Amino acid sequence: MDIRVVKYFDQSLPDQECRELLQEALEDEEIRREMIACRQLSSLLALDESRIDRVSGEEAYKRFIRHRRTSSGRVRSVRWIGSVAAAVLLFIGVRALFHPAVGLHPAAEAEWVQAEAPSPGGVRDLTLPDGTLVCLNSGSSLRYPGQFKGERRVELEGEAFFDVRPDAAHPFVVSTGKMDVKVLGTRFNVFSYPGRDLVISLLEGAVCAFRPESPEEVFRLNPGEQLEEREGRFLLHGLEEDPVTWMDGYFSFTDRTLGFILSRLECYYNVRIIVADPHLLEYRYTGKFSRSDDIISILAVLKKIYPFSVCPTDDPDVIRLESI
Amino acid sequence: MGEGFDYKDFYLTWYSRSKAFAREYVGDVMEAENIVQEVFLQIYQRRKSFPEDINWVSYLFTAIKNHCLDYLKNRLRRRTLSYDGYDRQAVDTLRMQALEQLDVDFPDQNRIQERIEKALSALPDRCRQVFVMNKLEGKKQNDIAAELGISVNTVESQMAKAYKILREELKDCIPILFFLLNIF
Repeated sequence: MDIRVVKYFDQSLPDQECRELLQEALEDEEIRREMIACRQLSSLLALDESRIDRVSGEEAYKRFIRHRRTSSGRVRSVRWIGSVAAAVLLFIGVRALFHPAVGLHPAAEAEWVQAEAPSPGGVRDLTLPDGTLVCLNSGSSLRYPGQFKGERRVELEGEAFFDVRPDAAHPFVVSTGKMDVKVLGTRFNVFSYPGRDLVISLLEGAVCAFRPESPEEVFRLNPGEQLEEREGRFLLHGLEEDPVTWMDGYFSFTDRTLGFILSRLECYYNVRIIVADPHLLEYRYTGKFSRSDDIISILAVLKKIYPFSVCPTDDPDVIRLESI
Repeated sequence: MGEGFDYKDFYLTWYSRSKAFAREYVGDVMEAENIVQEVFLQIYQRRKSFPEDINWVSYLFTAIKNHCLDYLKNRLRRRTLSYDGYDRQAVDTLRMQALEQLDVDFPDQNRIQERIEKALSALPDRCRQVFVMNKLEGKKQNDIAAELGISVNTVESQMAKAYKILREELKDCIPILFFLLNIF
């Protein structure tokens, strides 16, 4: 048996070797079998009686009962995780279950259709008439024609991930107001909430972006690159963190300032956060948050790392942070 | 639902284990909880419409398996390329294959336990000790080496041995786990 497989399942195999091992596993039958058998054995051993944990079971049961009472039987977006993990910043997300796009494609021909993802916390999957897959983040909206003719143009407000059906003859254009993003077939994420700096992240393929008023000035993105607006200018740089964790149900921040994190949370939760002391904005955090958690519990986690106080205001959609 | 079915007891007996099981395949502890809670809710809502003699353990794990597979399929569809060069697609593909090939039509609890114990008892003492510390007590191999005063290499080779023996053991003596046959 390959000793790297043992290390892999102990999570003690260095990253580079993990990559090599995974690649080999896809090509080499024997290694693949070993990996699969180890996974299966590990999962079966999870059934051993010594793994019964009635204490955490009781905790979970309380959450379960709470949810059961409020569940109408149709609710799919479930908030299972309470504030239990508040003491730990690494707060990995529960996915808000995806709402299938129902009845979004009326037979309308040239009619424009507007799809929205509910805010806060909603994520919506769409399939456009050309087969392009779109995942809309909370509070975002996408306008698109009931049927594409020629250029495939859609208008985005908010954030969305696109998996564009390749069609060289009919370029796909995401219009954000500030920039048009033009593609042939690719996977990318556009962050374009109103009043926020635009961020375009490319995972696969190639896109170019240009201001509608100056189409000759083009930014070309390669996979793994990000075009980010800063103070009105556009900068191209490598991706530093996964731009689409929101689709898997959590927000991930790697060494980001509180200012950056709060501005994202404002978009996702549709709230305003006022910070009295600008020094607070410089605190840096690394962590993950469940998108199904409410904004107050997320702030409660953040303030355990670097303290500040959260003050409610008269307006339920405005939160004030003050230094302690 | 039979009069003998104590829902809460069933939940408490299986919650932590099913979550650990799901976590092996979805990789994320919160996602695992989400799936497991969803399945327990389904069982709760439908419990009265099932025959009295239904095998709830088998039902539970079949539902968890299906939920995990759906989740992985979704994730694979979304993430064909990872941004950091770490091949999550390969990780998820292997997880999916492992789960697809796993027969979760488990017998009742006592028989599962019997089979796990029998398989573990086939391991030589030191090998079993290391394996149990790692897999059942959740200790990292490094810590086991320190605790037992042996080298990490030794721990790793004992683990490799344990995996190998268990594959054989479960293949031969646990018909319910015949999925293991498929991979030889």
